[in-house]
Amino acid sequence: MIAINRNQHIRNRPAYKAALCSVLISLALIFSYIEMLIPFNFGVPGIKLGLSNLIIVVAIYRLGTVFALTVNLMRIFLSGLLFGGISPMMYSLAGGIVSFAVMFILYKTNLFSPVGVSMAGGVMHNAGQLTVAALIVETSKIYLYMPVLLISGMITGILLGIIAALLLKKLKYN
Amino acid sequence: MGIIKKADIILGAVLAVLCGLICWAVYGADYGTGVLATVRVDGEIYGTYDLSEDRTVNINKNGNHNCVIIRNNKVLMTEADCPDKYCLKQYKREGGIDKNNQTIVCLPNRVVISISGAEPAEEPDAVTGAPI
Repeated sequence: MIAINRNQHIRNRPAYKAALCSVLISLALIFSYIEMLIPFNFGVPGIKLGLSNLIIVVAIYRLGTVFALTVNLMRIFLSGLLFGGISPMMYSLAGGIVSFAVMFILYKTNLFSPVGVSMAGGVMHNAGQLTVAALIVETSKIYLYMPVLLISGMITGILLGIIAALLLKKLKYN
Repeated sequence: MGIIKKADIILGAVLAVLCGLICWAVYGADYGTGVLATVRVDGEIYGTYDLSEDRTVNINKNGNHNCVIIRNNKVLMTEADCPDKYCLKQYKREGGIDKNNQTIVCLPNRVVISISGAEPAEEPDAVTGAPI
């Protein structure tokens, strides 16, 4: 992102991409850690800020699908190993894949700004997570949490989308 | 602001209406006060308990421990060895659950407590979350 536009050939090198990918994954992990430090608990599992989604939105807009997907999967895998454990990792994997797919499709339509993309991503992340939770506990009663999670996903998605939109304006080069 | 496009607002409105509909489907109906508390572990019924009798239920399964008390016709999770302890906070302010289809869920230990009428709790509809 620091590279100047005329250094296009540098940015096409695999080493550059690998390095940028690592930096973004690290940043996402730091965001996950910061999120753990903030007490943001309403007694419903799954409500959180989702700061690292910011990175994914920016990556989708600036770095392309493969790049963004790699960052997303590695972030989920590593933060699962570092902070959560296997079952939280499965929840965030489900949420991460569903929200990524939706955000990517919305991005491709070219109709939406980062705010709309991120909002849909936040909602779908929680919906995906809840579905996996319902499969694991083997009861559909868990869908009673759905409204709370959808609304919280929407609010945090909009907030992060606005930040992502501002960031994308400031970041001149990819 | 120039950041938000028209399509975003439409999408937001659609999502908001959807959320509202789901809210209405899940919370809107008046379920009434229940009679039985059903404890499920891994989706299988562990036990069914009458709300009118005060008692303590220890749930020991799969090497996990949860403790549920029934007091004043309400059910509350009081002990759990799960890492996140979300289940202990659920409905703590209200003193427990007593309405039909209310649930307390301990996700890590896969324990679900639900309230029902005279029969053990039916599964709500998988798609809408509304009771059958």
